Amino acid sequence: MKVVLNIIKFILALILTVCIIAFIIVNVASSTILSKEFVLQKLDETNYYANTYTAVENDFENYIYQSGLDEEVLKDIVSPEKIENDTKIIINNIYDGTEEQIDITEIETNLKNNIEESLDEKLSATQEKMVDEFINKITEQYQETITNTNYENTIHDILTKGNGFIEKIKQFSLIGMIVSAILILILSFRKIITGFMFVMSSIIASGAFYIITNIVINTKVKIQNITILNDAISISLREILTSILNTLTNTGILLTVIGVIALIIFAIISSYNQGKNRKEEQTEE
Amino acid sequence: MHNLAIKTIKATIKYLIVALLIIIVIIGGIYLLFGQEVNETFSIISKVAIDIENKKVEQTKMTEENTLENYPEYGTQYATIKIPRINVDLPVYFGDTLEVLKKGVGHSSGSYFPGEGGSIIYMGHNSKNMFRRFSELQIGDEMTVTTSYGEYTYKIYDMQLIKETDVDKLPIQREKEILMVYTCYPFNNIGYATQRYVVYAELEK
Repeated sequence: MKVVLNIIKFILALILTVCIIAFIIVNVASSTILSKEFVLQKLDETNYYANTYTAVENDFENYIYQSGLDEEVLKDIVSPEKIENDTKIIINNIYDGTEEQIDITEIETNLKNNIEESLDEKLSATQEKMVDEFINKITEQYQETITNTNYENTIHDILTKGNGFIEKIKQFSLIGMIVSAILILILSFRKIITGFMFVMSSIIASGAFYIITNIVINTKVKIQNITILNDAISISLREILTSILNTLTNTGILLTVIGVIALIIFAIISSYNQGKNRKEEQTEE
Repeated sequence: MHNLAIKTIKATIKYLIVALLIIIVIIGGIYLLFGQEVNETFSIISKVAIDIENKKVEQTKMTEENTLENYPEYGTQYATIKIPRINVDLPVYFGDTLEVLKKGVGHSSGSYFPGEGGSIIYMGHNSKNMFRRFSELQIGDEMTVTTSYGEYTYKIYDMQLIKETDVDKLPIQREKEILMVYTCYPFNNIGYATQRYVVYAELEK
């Protein structure tokens, strides 16, 4: 009977651990990658707007080589402030579902004025058509570099569905945690302290799980070398991933330490009670 | 007191073992259920997380079957191209991104390498320091590509003006070694160039 009870308690402790792990993961996801404020804060911290400005300028320069135009035509057609505003529009489209469009007329006007100023002769109709095409290419490149795509609303829909799913996981894992912990304690009603020790085992296991996961991820992937699209995006993405992993690892360390300390305290109480009971039994005899 | 300490240690170890068993069951479960997906995810992430500093650079070599051993890293220089008639001596990079074209001549990643016996596609801007003087080239002129595994000389046999969308004018095949080098046309255009000037050359030695 005792063995069966212990197996049931072990299974409940297993469920409790899974629920703790899931609960922490979804909470960390909600407060990091799924939070608009977190993403904006990380973009600020990693100088995303300034780095994107550099990337935009570099991408524009590539078109100059084949355009036959002077490099000066690209001067001041985009400002870091515009990049910051446009990036915030994209973030709002993704996280809040707004459908605001990025205004490219400012770039078009600035570029056209610069081109006209740089050329002495009047352009022929064909040349004007080519200049218009060049302006289109430059604005397309700008949108590509700041990752302005038609998929922003699709991403928003995915995020909305994801948030709903995460809320459900939160509720289920919370209920799972409470129910399994109560069941463990009920099954240990004669020695409730052992029930608490089972619960502590679950807390230690979930903490250790995060530490092990972090070690595995760091062994398999060099996050600091992740390179996607351009430097600005790569730097911000690395920072976001590192921040998420650090949060999970710190939570893991905290859970493990608290679990071990509590386990030792409960073990002392349990041993003390056992000793006391034995003494009482001996006195009765 | 001594007994209490021993009992405490034993109880602590017992429940730490329980915690260890729980971790083993969970990690084992994840490995059994999602092992393949997890490995694939790591593999995808590793492709965009290259440790350039610690990467062992293997020497690019040509095998007896005319296939390269250890292809160059994408975005790195692996050769130089010389076109004596127009005074061109430029580095050739594996890749065709805007970043690569800013540095020198790009090698289309879908084409073969010199010596492999197939179509080799190079491209470069029509700026002064690159291919602006392409119109001066004549049939019979030579272009030399020097790699770490050998030197290849090609003789120009054709030159064509194509639209940027005419990809069939740059066919990929492996029956004959052909070097196709193209740049934007017109050479002194204003605005965005929609035509390409292609120079076709066959392997001479």
